[in-house]
Amino acid sequence: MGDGSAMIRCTNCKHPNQDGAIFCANCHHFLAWESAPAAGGEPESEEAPDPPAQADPEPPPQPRAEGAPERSRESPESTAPLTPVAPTPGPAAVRDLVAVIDASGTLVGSRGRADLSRRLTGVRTMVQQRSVTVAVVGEFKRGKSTLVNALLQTAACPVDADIVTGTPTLVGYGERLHVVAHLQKPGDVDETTEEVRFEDLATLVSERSDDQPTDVRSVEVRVPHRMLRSGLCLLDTPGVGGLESVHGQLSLASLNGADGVLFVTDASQELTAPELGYLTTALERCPRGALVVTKTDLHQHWRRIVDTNREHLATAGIDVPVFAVSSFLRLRAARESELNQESGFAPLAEFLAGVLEQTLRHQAGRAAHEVDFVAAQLAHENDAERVVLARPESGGAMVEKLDAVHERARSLSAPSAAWQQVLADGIQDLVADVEHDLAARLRTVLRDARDIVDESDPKDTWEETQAWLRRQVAEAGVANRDLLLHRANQLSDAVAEQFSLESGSGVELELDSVTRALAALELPSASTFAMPGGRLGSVLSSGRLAAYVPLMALSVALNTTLLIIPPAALVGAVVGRTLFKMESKRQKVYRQGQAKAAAGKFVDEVAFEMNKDTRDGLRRTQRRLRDEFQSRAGSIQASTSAALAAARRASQLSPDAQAARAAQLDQETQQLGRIRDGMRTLATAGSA
Amino acid sequence: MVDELTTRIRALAAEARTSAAGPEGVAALTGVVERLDGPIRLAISGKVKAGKSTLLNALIGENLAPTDAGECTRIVTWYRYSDRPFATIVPNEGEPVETTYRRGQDSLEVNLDAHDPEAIDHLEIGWPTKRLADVVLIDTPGIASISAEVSARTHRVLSAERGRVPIADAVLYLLRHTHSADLRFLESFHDDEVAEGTPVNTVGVLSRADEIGCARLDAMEVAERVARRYETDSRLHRLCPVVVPVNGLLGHAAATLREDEYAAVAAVARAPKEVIGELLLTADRFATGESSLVPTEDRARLLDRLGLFGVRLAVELVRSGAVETSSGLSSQLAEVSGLGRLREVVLRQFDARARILQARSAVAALREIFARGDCSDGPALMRRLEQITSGAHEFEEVRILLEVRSGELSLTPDQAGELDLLMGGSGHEPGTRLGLTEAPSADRVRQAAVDALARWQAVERHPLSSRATQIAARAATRTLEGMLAG
Repeated sequence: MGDGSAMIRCTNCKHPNQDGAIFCANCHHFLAWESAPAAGGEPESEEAPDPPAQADPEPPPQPRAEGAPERSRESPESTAPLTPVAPTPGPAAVRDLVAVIDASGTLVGSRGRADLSRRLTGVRTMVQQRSVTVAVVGEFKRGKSTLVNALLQTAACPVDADIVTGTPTLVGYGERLHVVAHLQKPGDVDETTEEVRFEDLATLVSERSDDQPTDVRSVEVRVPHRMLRSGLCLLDTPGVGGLESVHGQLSLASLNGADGVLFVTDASQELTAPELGYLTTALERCPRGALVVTKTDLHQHWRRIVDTNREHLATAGIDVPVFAVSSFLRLRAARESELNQESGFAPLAEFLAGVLEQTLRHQAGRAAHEVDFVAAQLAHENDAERVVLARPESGGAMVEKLDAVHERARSLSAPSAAWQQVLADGIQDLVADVEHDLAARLRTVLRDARDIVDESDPKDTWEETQAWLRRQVAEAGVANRDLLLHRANQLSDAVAEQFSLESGSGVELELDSVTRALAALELPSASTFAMPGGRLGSVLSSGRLAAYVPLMALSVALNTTLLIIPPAALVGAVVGRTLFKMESKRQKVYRQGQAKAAAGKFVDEVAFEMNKDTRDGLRRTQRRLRDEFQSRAGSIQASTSAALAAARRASQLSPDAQAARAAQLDQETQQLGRIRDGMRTLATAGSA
Repeated sequence: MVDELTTRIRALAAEARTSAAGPEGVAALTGVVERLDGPIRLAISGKVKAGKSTLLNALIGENLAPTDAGECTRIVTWYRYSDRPFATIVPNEGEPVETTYRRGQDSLEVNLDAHDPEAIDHLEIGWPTKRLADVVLIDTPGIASISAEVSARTHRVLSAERGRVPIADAVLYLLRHTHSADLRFLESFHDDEVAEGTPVNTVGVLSRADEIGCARLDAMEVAERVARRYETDSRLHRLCPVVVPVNGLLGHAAATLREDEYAAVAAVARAPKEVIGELLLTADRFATGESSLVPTEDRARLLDRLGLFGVRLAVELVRSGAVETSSGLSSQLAEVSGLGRLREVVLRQFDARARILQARSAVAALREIFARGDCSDGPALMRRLEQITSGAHEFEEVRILLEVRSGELSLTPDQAGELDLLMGGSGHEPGTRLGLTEAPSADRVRQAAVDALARWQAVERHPLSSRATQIAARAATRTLEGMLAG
């Protein structure tokens, strides 16, 4: 494997691609789905080739015909594909994972554990729905929307020479073309969604010329595009207008949820200091980034600009790839494919493939934790039974031990469990701390604002002061959200720790006769937490989501409170500027008072909105954490009682039946062991 | 009208000179008169890389302004007409010193000797070109990238702080294509202190206009559309009510188009359409692509001079037979570049107003001199000055115009538009003031004036009109009465 003969032929343009490619080098179509069937019509049977990238080959998963519906599209008879194809590591990991999940599902089903099979279904959905978000950010009019369009060679994002994108637009895969708008009506806490016609998209996302804030928070465009089938989602953002601006702060905050970031600048000029600053900050939040220099078709000296940009990056100590592209050529390449090379998009697609692969591997790792948890639950039951079968004489003692564990597991799901206390207290502390932090930040801002107003006449300076104030408040808001996020993660760690502490270290079992694959039996929870790649990946991701939602609300707060500003802004709008410097001191003092009141009111409004959002968000987080741990506790309890029952049952079997049962259990245990080994490998890879 | 005012102020200054105490007073008064008689001073301002120097070179028609990095860009530079070329260093302290310069490849390299750039107030370049005959251009450093000291200097050129005499009469503010439907716009616009230009004397220039439309052949029309939208944007309107799209690079190239460049364009234009399309697809292809039509280095140079848009346009013009000579191409390109229109806006539409602004600057300067006691009979002179200014309807008009444009008056949009025109917002000809198009007959003007008079008298008398509106309406009636009487 991995020699020159390993090629993936693109089904779209027949271009032979390098082994391991995710997108076709010629037309950038997504290849992984193609490679799956080519790997062998009736695939991944016992003799299926090992995935090349894995040093430690995974156990061949149980084939399940309906496990991967995509495969059935190709004729299974084609046993001799044109080229021997190796599946790519990223998506292959996902594909294998789905197979493993299904295999475990069969086992779980045979045990009648509804709780575990629910869990598996959830994981399976998460893995299959995989979405990898790459945000496209940059200053105004640098060609962000055009870049997205050019990448996909479709008109997914509206572009215009004059009008700019005003609403974040997520372009992702869908079976059919449709557009969904996420709306938040004034005063509503939750977003509502509404399907809109594609023709209305342009008016929806274009920046409006009037001052009215719109209800539209974001727009989702679903396109049946082959490249997007990989799970790639492109987030087109409004121009940031400098790190200093409110929008800059907000889109920076939204990067917390992105898996990759493309910073877009154009070939007309080198990176400016604000752009560089923004890039630095953006990469702190989303380390997988690249600089894309667009419009190379328009500027003769783009190579010099690109070189200068590279130097700037090197000076700033930023190590990201730089891609020079021409969206214009790439769009034309839809008709004349030979232009593709010239457009410079190939390395960019390669970069995206890298992001995709890494993220998917990471997601697979997260899912692996879950599958491992389920497998461990089953193994626990099996082991108890096997010990009793191996040493029938110790059956009584075994049952006693299991009884004790069962008791402990039951107390885990009781409302009085200590982890419940940690969670409840933690949330209360969190609310208090986060609110205090926001209050402190805003107070500083307000004090500065008052000083500024005192030092000048609002008539001349209010506009600037107002802009400054909005920036500062946005900055404070984002910093506060970061704190919230950080603390929420800490809390879920603390709860997890308490939980595993409580669930105990497990039962000591003498396993001399049951040697293979079983060193010690432990309560499953501990192993789940101790796995590499951090604890509770999936819970953390839901925590992140819950905290992410309020951020959108911050922009609402800033927008709606803007409506309150105008009366005060009038103070500033009465700008006689330099000609009318002769006004009485009294008037000035009056204006200063007005301005300070307006600033205070603005800050109050923002604090009010944000505190509400903090509470809402944390309540959601609390509920999610509680439900998650509750269901884990339930599973553990069910496992212990099943183990108990199994042990009792085993001790009452006839010797013949015991032997048969032991053989069956051995086989199952081996399978479980393989699954768990595989999952650990995946989890390790995902956390790398 | 303006001339009359100017004459009276000049006479007063001359009279004051006789009673001036000491040479400093005389010098100051001489300065006032010179300022009054001199050409308009036009400052060019904008962010770094907005295309200031390119525009300046295009306006002068020669490569004088340094278009790349270097000490000179950090210094405010004046370009004025002179019979012989010269370069003078005007230090913060002490007498101006003439210095040597060298004509470089693309710019004028002024020898700063041992002068510390920080200690130089500004440079003065004299150049014998008729394009500078009626205007003094003041190049200011881009503000985002420079030291606070330089920034302060730029600020002083543009602003009339505390009743001091502003150095520039009008301001060209270079905007690159930015956007917003909210205050972000002003946030980016207010990134420097240029806004000190008032709405009555600032012209917005949408620079690098061809890039907005991605160098397609209709790029300038797209830019025009953008400029119109900017003009209707109420917030921007307060800062610069007029926005002109300009492609400085093309304008400059058009003004200095050489015969061999025309030949190169023509050679490309003779090729079959598909070949041209391929060659002009990207800048890269044109500059370095394989083609025997024109030597590669010539193509690269042509591209540097005209830009991709310019090359595309020039080839299209020649190919379609719209132009057949280099001078024809030159004038066509000049027209498309928008440079001519900018000159017209500045010198025609702004000329009359700039004179008033000059006069106002002169009054401010005289007031300062009299108050300082540089003249023996200061109080008496001050009274005379007050008499002149209080009777000057021109000043009143500028003041009202400013109020209208800054949105201070509570008027309907129609009324505001009418008043803007009436106060000379688009020019001081009676027809223009009344909003009549073409060249209206005297009767037509008269009739329109009578109608308008009745309207504004009604506004003035209306019991619900605010005091400010009443005053504005009174000024309008006075303007109209003057028009009818004249």
